[in-house]
Amino acid sequence: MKSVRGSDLPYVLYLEIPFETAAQANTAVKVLSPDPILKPQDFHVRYVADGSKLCVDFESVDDRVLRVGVSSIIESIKTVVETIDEFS
Amino acid sequence: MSQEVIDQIAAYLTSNIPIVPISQGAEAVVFTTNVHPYEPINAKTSPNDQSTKTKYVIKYRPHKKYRHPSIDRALTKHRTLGESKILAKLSQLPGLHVPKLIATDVYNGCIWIEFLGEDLPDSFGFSNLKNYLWMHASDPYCDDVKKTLIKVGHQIGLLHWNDYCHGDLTTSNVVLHQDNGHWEPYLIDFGLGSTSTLVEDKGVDLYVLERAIISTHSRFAAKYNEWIMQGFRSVYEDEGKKGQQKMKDILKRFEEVRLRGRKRSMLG
Amino acid sequence: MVNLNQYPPKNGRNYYLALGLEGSANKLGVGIVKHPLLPKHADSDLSHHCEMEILSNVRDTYVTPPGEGFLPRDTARHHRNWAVRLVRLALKEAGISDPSELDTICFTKGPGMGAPLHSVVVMARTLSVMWDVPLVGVNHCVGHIEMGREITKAENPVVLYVSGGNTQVIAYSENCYRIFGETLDIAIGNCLDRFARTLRIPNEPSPGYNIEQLAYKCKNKDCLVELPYTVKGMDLSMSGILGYVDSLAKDLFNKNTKNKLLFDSQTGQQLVTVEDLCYSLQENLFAMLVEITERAMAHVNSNQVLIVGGVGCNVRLQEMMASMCRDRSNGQVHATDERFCIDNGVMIAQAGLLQFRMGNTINDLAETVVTQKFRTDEVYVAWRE
Repeated sequence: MKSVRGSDLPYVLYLEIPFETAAQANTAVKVLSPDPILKPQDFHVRYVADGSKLCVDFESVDDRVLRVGVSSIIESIKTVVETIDEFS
Repeated sequence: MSQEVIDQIAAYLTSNIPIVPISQGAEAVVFTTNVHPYEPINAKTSPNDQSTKTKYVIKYRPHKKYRHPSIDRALTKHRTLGESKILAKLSQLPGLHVPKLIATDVYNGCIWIEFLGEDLPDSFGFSNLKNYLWMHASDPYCDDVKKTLIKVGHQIGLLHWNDYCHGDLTTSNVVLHQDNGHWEPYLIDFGLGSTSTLVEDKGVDLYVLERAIISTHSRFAAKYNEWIMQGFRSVYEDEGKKGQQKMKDILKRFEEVRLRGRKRSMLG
Repeated sequence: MVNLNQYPPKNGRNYYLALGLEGSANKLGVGIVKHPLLPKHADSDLSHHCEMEILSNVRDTYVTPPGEGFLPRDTARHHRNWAVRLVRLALKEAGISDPSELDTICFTKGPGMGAPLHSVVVMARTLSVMWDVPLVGVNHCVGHIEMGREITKAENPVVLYVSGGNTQVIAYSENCYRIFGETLDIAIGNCLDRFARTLRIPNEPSPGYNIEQLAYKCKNKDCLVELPYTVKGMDLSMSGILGYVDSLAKDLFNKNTKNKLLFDSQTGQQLVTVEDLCYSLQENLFAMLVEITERAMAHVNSNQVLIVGGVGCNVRLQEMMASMCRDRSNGQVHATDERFCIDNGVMIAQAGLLQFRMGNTINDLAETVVTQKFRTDEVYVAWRE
């Protein structure tokens, strides 16, 4: 799936994270989506499941904000992956 | 009340001064006595006769065993002194009614003050504002209640206008004393009182009293609080432009305190 | 009367199972509790008599080197590292092979540090979706209170809640834990932790515990170092005390003989030790806590105190509170030991399960967003009369 840009923020990153099943990818979307972004005018993130893939779209006002935002979300994704790994 | 505390003060006062306990708070125990600390004992009245008209109040801060003796000594002295000073100063302010200070022993945490009030008829208890309002529950909006509450507000207004705060304004801490057939409110218990120019402290004072009225006389609270505030405002309105401005600031803060419920929001 | 049985346990069982996850500060705790389904709970006011059974209570603390506090980022990383392992361990200890048997998963919604809270809720959500078990968001302070009530069976105590992040005097009234007094600046635990950092004493097992041990070693207990005493009605303030005692400690370490409180002005001989400072600090702070607690007790006409929160393990504080209570008629103190006082998962499970039994569960994951600020009196206490 291609990145869909929803705003005009210039710095973007698109990630695809493979899961074993579509259900797992859906779980990840559900778990990650609720948290609000602290500065929505500077940073956006969108989670979509595409089959067994988790697709994450980041947009940001500058590279520093992008780096910080992406790394924090990757930490959360790691927790989700580890939890799924351990208990399924 | 713990017998130990009573024994403690009885030992301090000696058997020449009979005492009757009337209330216990967290910090102090209050007694009545008919012995004056330094005036000669009237030969006609026996010291054991509590029914005589000359009654005095002894407020005693007992030793607290839980805290270190040096903290205890320092606090007892500091607070007794603070309360005595504030009472002495307040009694100089024209129009303000507080009990007269008779004697104070700051090292032993003991103050003697004038006794005010009386027992209300029909066993409504002692004539503090709380019991007085209960007594009038059958005719809650009568003229007497209105006049009294306006006077209460007036007293608080005077207190605040002179930059003092009470710190614990409840309906039990307003005592009504008969003066030529009229009830005159007296503010008592300045244990948490202070001088303060802060609108915050004044707003909290007003809020605490408002809450006290609401929690004990909820059905009539709106009108009661309105009358109190009417008396409160009258003090500031008599002080011209400066008074008006100060009152506006206090009322604004009062409103803010009411919205946040006394406590500020705090990080967890 | 309250009906705690209106939402029956899963699969027709005669007991409830709840998993509790706590990570609002530097402790990560996982606990599993069981409540039997009893007829007496259908129509009573017995939320402190749930006959709770603790199936497991595991914890890992993020300990920093002497002189350092725990930062949100590092603490969150610690929690992420341990969370899954602790849940696995807790399930094993509880003998639960099929986690979908759980009735509810309870997590700390707040108050606390944002990043650590968030690191735990991410796992809680994942488990909830995978096992199809509903979530319950718990107020950390209410967790402490409900845990304390269940363990000590104190029915309606005035609660002194003392921890690294909070200092509050609380009493229950009309479905709300009302705050009667609280700190106007820093929390008591924070004050002790920061003083421990100034002294550069170890943070293991906890900075407050080490101050307590040093205070016991004070050889000069008659001669207290005078510190500010800052009680304001039922509130208190501690930042000024910390600033002052910190400056004394620094003068002591720097051998600043000009400070006449610490050194003899003639001989330059040291008069005060680190142990003396710890002793004086504790005596001063705890006297303030006991005083505001007593004031609240007089106010609400109660004779019971329950001490909860990490600082509640301090034996000296418990002693002082007991001494105050002895002077009040029928006064009683209730306190718990470090297993329950210090943040843990069981307390979240206990409060969460009460909420669950009253039907207060989360239907939409959007309601699981954690919050740094969450006052004790914002919670509707449906499980009490």
